[in-house]
Amino acid sequence: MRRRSLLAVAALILALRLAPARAHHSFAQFDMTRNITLTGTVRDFQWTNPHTWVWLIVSDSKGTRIWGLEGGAVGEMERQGWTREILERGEKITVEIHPLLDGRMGGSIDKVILPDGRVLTRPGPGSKPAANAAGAGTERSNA
Amino acid sequence: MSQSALLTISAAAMSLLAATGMTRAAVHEWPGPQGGSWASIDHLPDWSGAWALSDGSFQKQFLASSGPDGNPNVPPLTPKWAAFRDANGAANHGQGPPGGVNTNSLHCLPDGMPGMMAAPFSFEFLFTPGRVTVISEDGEVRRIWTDGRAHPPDPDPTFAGNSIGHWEGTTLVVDTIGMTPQAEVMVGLHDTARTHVVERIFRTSNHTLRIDTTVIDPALFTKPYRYTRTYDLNRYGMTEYVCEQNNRDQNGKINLTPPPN
Repeated sequence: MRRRSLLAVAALILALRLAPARAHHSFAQFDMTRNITLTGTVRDFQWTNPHTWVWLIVSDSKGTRIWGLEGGAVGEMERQGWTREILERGEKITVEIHPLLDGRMGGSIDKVILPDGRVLTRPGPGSKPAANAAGAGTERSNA
Repeated sequence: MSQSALLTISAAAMSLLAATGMTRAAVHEWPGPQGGSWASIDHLPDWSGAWALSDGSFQKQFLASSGPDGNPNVPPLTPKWAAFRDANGAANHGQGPPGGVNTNSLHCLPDGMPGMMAAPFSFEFLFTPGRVTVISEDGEVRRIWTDGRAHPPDPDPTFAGNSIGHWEGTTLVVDTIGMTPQAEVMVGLHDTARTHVVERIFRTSNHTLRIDTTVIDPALFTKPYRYTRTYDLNRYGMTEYVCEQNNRDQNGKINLTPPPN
């Protein structure tokens, strides 16, 4: 019984994460219940709207393939500590993503771990700027 | 001449101007609370800078659009629109259409009023004689007339609507009507021709600003929908947002073609 209650609470939490906020699109295309970790080489970092994109070259048992990883809008990412130059082409990074539900090689970025160990998170409901985010800092006000 | 007689004459004159299409040309003849000169706006508060929707307000907006029902942030929707919201997937915990809820932003359309003011963007407020201009990071612009004019009797429907403002001390009170039914109250929930929005905008500290909003529309809500959103001064300033720049949404499916190497 207790386990069932816990499952119900867990389901509610996951459900809340699936529901749309206001962003360019909802997270409905992604499996928000699942995180997968990719390690690869940065091919491109698109500092664009409505979403930023990390294109990652990943080599595994299935070969060498390019993954498309979606971040938030430029302004949102900037307020989270990201900058246009924070990812360099050829850099080896680790990315945690919520994969696309349709099985293609794409996902919604949850966090990026840089070679020096710094962690970049992406904005979303409940997200907070990472304490150790790189860039110009994470403070949101300048007063 | 008595005050009531003067008011009657003024109202008649305004009706005549409206009827003859002269309202726009006559703007500067009606200095309102904000006045019609640079000197007359000297006393207004300093709202300079970029104001980003706070994390806490993003959370509230998230709950407002998704529930669960009974949450204090959820608007008092009429049964018809509560059913629509459920069907649209905005409140049924992600069990909606596979591509997500159909929203204006998905199609790179503006949110319009009042939804645009609760979007996760930064906003700036520009004071000039006779008006306040609000610019959203996503490019939407609101012109809030503070020169004493009234709403036009039958405004052309627009995403931003028609906004009339006045100052109560350091609070800007804004009355907005005339939105197109394409505009959104929130994700997937569209305005009607009768949606009426009243905002009270004021600073709560050196680096926070607050907007108390009331949305009145008996077709959508069982009672006026009231909510508060707060904004933090954003040290990074305004950022450009052009939705079509790299829009990879194609009918609910993401285009995963990498950029040219």
